[in-house]
Amino acid sequence: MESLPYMIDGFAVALQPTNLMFVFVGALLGTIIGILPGIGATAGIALLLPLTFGLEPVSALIMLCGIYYGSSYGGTAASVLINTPGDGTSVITVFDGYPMARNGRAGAALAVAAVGSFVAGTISVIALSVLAIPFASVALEFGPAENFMLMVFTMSAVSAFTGGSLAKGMFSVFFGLMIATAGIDLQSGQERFTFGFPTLQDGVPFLSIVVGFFALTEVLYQIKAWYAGELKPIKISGKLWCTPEEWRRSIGPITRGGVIGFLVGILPGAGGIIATVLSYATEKRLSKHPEMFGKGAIEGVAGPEAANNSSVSGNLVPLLTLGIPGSGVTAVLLGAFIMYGIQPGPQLMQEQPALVWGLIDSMYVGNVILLVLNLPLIGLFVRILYLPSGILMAGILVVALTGVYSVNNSITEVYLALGFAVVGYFFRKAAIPVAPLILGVVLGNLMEQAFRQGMTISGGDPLIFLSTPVCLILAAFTLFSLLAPTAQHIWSRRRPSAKSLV
Amino acid sequence: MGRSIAIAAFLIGSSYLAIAYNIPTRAAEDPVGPRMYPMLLGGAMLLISMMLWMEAQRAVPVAAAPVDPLLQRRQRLGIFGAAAAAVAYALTLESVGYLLTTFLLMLGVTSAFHRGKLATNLAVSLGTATFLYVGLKRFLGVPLPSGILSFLG
Repeated sequence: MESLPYMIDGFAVALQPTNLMFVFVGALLGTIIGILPGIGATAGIALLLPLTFGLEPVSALIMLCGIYYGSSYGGTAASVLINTPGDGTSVITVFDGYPMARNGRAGAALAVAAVGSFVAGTISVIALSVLAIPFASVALEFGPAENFMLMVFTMSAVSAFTGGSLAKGMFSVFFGLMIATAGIDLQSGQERFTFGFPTLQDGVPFLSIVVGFFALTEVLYQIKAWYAGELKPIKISGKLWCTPEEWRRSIGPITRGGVIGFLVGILPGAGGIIATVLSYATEKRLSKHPEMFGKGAIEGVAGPEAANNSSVSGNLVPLLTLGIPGSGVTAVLLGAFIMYGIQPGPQLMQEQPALVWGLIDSMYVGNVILLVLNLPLIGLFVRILYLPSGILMAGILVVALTGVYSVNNSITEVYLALGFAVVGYFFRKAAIPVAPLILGVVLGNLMEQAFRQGMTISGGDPLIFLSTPVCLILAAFTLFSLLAPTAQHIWSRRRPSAKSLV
Repeated sequence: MGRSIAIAAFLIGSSYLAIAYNIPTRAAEDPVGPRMYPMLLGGAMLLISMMLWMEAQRAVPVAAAPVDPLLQRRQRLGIFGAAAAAVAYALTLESVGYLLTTFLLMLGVTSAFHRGKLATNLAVSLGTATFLYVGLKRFLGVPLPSGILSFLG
């Protein structure tokens, strides 16, 4: 257990009163953000990122991670009570959570989700603690060519798996990479794509991009939904607890969901959505009463909720150990690290173990806080759903614009955010996934540096990117991730019955 | 929609490529220089535009859900209105000041989407603007513009 001494030191950081407070604040805000329909972890982190400036980096990152896993639980309440998932990872919960609510078992659905999230979250944080050092040791052997190929693989996987269309995913990731080339070239000092705007010399401000694409675009969509008269909540009824029979039925799905969520979460591009779908399909396949799924089966809530929470820690494995985010939300978290002057990766684990392990250990604490917070307070939290949408929209708009402005007191950055909101609106309308774009933006500079270093080492020979076994394996993974959606499409057309599993 | 995205991707790729082509390079630079990587991205975007076009050609036309033209018009008006309010906010933030513009933006949006509750909207708008102003300026030291209310400090 190589990581044990680091873990113990990490608890010294995580249990500091200030950091405990930020774990609590992050988990609380995350739960609230998750409950608010449509916002989700990515927009929530983007929205609150500017308010963390001025804090110690470790406290700020602990809070942002708290928002991440807090929101993964909070999304459940909106799914169960108003049939509207807080974000994509809660979509599956709707299938059985909402019917449970209609059957008067909303309290049981929310309780099993809280306990399931706690158990699975703890399983996955233990797995993260065990795997962090071996992953980082492998990553230390990577040179520019391996790093470049790893980024290519991550982007291809995220493009292929975060939307229905590979071409749209690729469009999104390359659009992000293009945005990342704006600014002064680090090697030659040459200005590129700045169009004479001094604000762009340091690159396009990250916060303008994420706030524009997530928070402001969300406001525009909330306006549409407001006119359409959507989002009508139903009241909680019945006891806020499960029966012994419901607990017995939930133990297996929670354990399996925890393992599935962590393993899938590690894979780039897969993330919470695929983890929840896989968990749901597994439970339906294993159930003696598959016909009950979709009509309020508690297994259909317990498994996916556990998988969802567990995938959060899985997602953090490549981010913390390799410096490579595997999803939109971890890409935003990477942006936050970079804004604090911290580059996650194997070097960080060696140079600042207190920060990395403090962050990991804060998740153990955060899981306990979430459980303590959610079980007694869920009745109170769901009242947030009754907050008038007009006030909610105005609040998001004002906090988003204030956040962007307050970082550098730059009105140009506000205009940029508004511009990105318009682009984001059309992205969403055209069903183009935004996660690959954010990944392109945060990895763009690293990718160009790795490409140029590799080409310099080889004297301009691009075959360096296929010169080592690791590069070849990553190239094979890239090809697989690009071809898999097409193969899956052909497979599902030949076997239409496979679709009925979900 | 699919073809429009393909055309947009083509226009983005070709404009980007044209700008990248004009990035000056020097002989003594690394084998790649500041131009090659953006040119590769631009070229890739052109290929992606072709993929998008082919995908749009192959797409099976789906019968569009019936739309209510009146609802659509109201949604567009609402979105344009909110966007115009946000632009007006950005235009006046520094001259008029944070507190007043934030209060007005909040009041405008709540009045439009939380109708018939003027007292609540006024209280929420004033409370939010004041909370953010005091919190950011006094506690976090963010220099927010005071504008015409500079006498408040």
